[in-house]
Amino acid sequence: MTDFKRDGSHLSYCPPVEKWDDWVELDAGAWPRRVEKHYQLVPTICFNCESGCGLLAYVDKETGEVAKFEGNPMHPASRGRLCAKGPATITQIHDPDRILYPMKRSGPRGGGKWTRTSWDEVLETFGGRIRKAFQENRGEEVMYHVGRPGHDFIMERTLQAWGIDGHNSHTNVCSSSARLGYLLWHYADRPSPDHANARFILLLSAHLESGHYFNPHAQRIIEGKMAGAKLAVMDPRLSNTASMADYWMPSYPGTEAAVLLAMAMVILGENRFDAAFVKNWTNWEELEVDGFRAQGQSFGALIEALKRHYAKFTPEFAEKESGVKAEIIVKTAREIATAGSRFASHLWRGSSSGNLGGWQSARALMLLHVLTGSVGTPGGHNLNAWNKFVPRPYKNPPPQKRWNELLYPQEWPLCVHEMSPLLPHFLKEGRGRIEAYFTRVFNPVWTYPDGFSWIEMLRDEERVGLHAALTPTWSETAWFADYVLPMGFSSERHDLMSQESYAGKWIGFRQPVLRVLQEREGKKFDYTYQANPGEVWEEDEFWINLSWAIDPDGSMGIRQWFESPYRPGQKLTVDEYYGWIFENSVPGLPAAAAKEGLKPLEYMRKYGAYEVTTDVYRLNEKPVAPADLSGSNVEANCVVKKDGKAVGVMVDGEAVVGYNTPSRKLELFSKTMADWKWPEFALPEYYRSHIHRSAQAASLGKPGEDFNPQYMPLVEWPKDANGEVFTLLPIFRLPHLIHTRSGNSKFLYEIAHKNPLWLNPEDAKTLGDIRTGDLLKVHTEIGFFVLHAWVTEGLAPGVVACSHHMGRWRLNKEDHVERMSSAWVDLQEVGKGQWKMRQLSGVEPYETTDPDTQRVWWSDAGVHQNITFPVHPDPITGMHCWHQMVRVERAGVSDRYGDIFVDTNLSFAVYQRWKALTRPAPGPGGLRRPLWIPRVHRPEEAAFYIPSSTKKA
Amino acid sequence: MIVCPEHAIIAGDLNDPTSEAAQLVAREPVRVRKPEQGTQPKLYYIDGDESAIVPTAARHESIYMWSQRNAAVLGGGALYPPDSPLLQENALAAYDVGHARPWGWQVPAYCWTKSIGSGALAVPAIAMLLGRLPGDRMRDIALASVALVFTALTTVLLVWDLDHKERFLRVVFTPQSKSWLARGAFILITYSGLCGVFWLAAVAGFPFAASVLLWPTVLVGFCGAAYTAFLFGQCEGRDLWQTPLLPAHLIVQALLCGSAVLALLPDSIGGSTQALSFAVPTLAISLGLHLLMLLGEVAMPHTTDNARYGARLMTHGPFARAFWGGAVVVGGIVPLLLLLLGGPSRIAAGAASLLALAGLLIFEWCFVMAGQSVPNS
Ligand code: SF4
Repeated sequence: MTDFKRDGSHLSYCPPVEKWDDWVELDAGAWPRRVEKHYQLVPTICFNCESGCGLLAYVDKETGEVAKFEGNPMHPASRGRLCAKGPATITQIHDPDRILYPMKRSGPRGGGKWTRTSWDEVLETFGGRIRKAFQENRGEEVMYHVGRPGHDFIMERTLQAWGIDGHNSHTNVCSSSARLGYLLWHYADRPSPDHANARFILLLSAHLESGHYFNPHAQRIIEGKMAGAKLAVMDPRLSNTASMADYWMPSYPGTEAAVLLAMAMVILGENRFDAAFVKNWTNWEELEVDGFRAQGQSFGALIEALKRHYAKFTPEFAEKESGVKAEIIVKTAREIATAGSRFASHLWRGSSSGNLGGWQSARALMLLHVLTGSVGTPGGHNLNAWNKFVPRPYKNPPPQKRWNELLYPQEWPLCVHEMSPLLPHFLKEGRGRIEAYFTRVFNPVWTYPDGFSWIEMLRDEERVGLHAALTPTWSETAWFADYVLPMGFSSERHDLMSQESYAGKWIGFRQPVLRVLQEREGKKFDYTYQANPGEVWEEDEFWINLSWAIDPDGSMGIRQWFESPYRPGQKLTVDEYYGWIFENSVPGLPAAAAKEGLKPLEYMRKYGAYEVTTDVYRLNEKPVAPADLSGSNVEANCVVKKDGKAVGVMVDGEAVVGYNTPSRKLELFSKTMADWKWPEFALPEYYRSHIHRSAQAASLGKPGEDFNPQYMPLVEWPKDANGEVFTLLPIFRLPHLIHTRSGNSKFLYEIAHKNPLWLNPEDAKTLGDIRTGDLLKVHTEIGFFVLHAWVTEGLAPGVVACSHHMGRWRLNKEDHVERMSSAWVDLQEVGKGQWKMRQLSGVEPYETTDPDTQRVWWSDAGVHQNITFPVHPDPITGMHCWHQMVRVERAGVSDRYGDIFVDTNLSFAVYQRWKALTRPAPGPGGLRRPLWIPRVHRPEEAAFYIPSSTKKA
Repeated sequence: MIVCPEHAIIAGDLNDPTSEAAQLVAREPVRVRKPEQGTQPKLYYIDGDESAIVPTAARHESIYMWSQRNAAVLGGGALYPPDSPLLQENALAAYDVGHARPWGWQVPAYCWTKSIGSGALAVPAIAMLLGRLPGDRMRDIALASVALVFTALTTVLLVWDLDHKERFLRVVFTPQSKSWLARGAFILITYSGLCGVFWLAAVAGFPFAASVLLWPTVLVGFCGAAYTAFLFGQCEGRDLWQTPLLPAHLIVQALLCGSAVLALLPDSIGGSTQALSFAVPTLAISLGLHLLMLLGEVAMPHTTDNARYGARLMTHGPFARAFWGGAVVVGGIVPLLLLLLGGPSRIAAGAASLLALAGLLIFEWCFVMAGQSVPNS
């Protein structure tokens, strides 16, 4: 312990590594006595959001228990800092209601009766059923569906080892649209902004309080700001982020692309763009628009054609669409031009996830980067692929030969990820069934739209044969499982992670803290669960063991992938899996470890993270490797090809690697869009969202000229839906919660447990002098929910908003539920597909081993809104378009807080209306989807062709 | 030692101009909370918005943006009247924790019993000094008993309100010389001792000893009445209580109680027409003074917003009914009229005394509750 010094020199922000083995602090509980506590500090990785920040577990040497979590200063992305959810991990691992043993249902599905079972029984049951499915060639009936991944590659590897196309994810309710906008430009589907070095930062997301890579990005945005960068935030809501901005641009939802294109026009019109960059690094010569063909024309002619094409995007037009003042649009555009290559931005969720056509806002935003030449530059926009590092394991199975139509159906050939929100509808349509379904930290009944359709699917044993929920906590989805299998929290499992947090590359190592500590002391473990509380497993070991259970004698060719690289024929251990990766696949790590006299695995166990490279910029300018260059040829469009595969592009007479697009350049013009039946979107465009004012008018029977039924589905209101029409923003996140995963954190739920409906004072007046706390009834296309009003100036008029996370419910009062974060409800199916939910009681104090559960003072758990939303698959990206057109009225006398009603027959009809807007495969050559577009868990090329049309392009 | 790993709070030596903390304070626009309290806070907020830093500036609705309002804290939490003149336009509290009102009913009750206990012997002593009343052994015994019983009750209530009751002993045995809690404890002990000896002298029939002891006892009683003003004065941030009038007001309250007790004293234990005829005008005068001071306290311009807010809670807020109806009208104006119009009637004087005592208790309750209902952070 350090003595107090008057000048503060005894203070530091994080414990230095040298002291991690014996870190001494005074016991706050013993004050005013001075009682010393000795801790051993073990690094791991936070598992609450996708950022992968470094945690430091403080293990009390006396009790051997984790006492708290702080930040790991050796983690290059989070640098010792955490958001509220990181330290709150302590409440999750000590939650008295957490699941400690594998559970098997003992009544009908969804009946809420469970008995404890053994892991052996679990492995035997699933191993047997899956083996049988594989032997009967029903591989598509085995599906792994992930909510929060928290790991890289290991699951794709497992499923490929099984030879199936069975990877499903949450991405289509999350970020697919933004991804298409980015990948059409440069293949990489996510931005990696270099905020810290930027001069101007434009955010279309709330990164200072939430968002992808919240904490790592937030600290760098503030770093940039402290160094003088200006911040602009485009968001209809005055988020915490917007409140820190120099410019708040409250755009009407879905009109962001119009504003961004107007900004681009200012930069183009004032000739302030980086002509050399645009000329060298876009595929402008391929552009064909409005009868103009760029090929053979001068660059100047192209610019004139672009100006003509985008002429309608005047600041005034953008103001009319969006409500953002024209002069602010001009001013920010000029500031962006001035920032030039030091212009950074981020767009995630919000505009792209909320709106039909939301992918165009990402694409229009990228146009600003291309015009300013801020791609790949310090302080600019970088590619996620440049800043994320996924090292390969010792051997990898070949890609699967199958194509699962339940995941990638033909209607959405350009969907970026699996069409997961539509799964219940696909099964209803008879497109298939599922024999073994693994939901992994995944709660679609609650988190997804149309949760009642999920319930209908999950409780139907014909459609879903066997369902295991892999989760550390109870959830609305686990309720409808056959098995609930407890998996570890952040400090109870292994995972390898990397994210594009800044202009560098790092890997982080999540590890089971108690196992690591006891192994340091010489104890040996075969499995992590032996050191974890109860029988909480880690997934890596589960998949290894399940693979062995499916193929016990290796005859199916599956087991080989889960055998030790060091001990032939023996079962792979996690130490071996990761040890091999650290020894062989992470450049520089073995040397760094050797310097300290450590093995690479020991190094990672000690520090929890490793920075692979820093200052990664302009990788597109890397020369093509000599090996690739020899024997290559240059095509007419300057693409360098070897053996028919593009390896680079000629720029200024040099062969450089470029981008992974067909043209190897940034694709201003997307031939792919034209080839795949959307020629009108070959260039970045703006088109109107499903919640545009014209669509609202159309829903009331007054379609104006802006309503185009070719692109916009018509909303048909249920009979008793009354009230004014609004656009509901349902997806904004709070800094201290994470979907439904934080429901077992007493710290976090004490702070946030309610989700009132935000309403502008003008609208409150129109609705009849609504005041904060009044009850409102919100009608969606398929039902309604009832909640309190929150009247605030922090939201544009015409829009209402309700935060995500809250509204958890439980069907049991006490057992097998999360009591501190859910209302106890009565759920009735009053007619076929007609579901009614009413709250019986809110949260109440309860008795457990933790005295704090009796101090629970809040009674409200919020109101579940997502379950009243129909699916809205974007006709192109397949992304669920979250924003809802709703009608809002004052609640009636029979309405009670938390009431919910939904008709799933209506939701199926909405699904059909949206599906009708798609332009299905086959594409050129009978393809299911373009070959060059990334696909997670990618099958072999042959599987990309629709079997009936065998002709190759 | 670890401070804020998030780096949201930068700790350092402000006297060292090269430290990060000193440089930030020099470079960035900073503010502190409640500079008017004179405590010279050293926690600076960079870009701190007034509505976030001044706890009375933002409107609080029945709910917050993502939570309920926590009314489970002690006393139900601070109060936020929607019509407070201190609200900034459009400032709306998105979130706040519950701020406890730590003092329960024991504290106003303690003020009240202390006023009775410390004023019981004073009024006849003044009357005797002025030659308006002869000595009376019965009366001495009765009033000393009242003083002893009410002072004992006072001590019980004081200890009752402490979170850690056993710490009272520490207050007494290892006193902090600057704490008015400790000083007050000693005053009350001294006063009880003097009252006890006085009582013994009266019971034993030593009139000389009693008469020698009377005035020291009365004067220590006045100290006992007034010291609470300094105790309240040490509650930084409870500005309603920091009025300079308070010591005098507490002595007036003790006299008010002393007069009422004397007026209520039955003839069998030392009451008399003579005593009554002295008690009635002293009660009227002290009640009138109390009313004037009480109105003065709410009407005079307050030096801080905190005091203004507290006074407004009393006069316009949730305590207004008790304050105006109970403390001013029923416990003040009505007994005053009874005293002025009822002449020497024993019934009128008795009723007035009872009403005045009740009114005083209601006032203490309003004063203590309003003072601590001001949100302080
Ligand atoms: S941002 Fe917060 S929740 Fe996400 S990984 Fe970091 S500390 Fe955990």
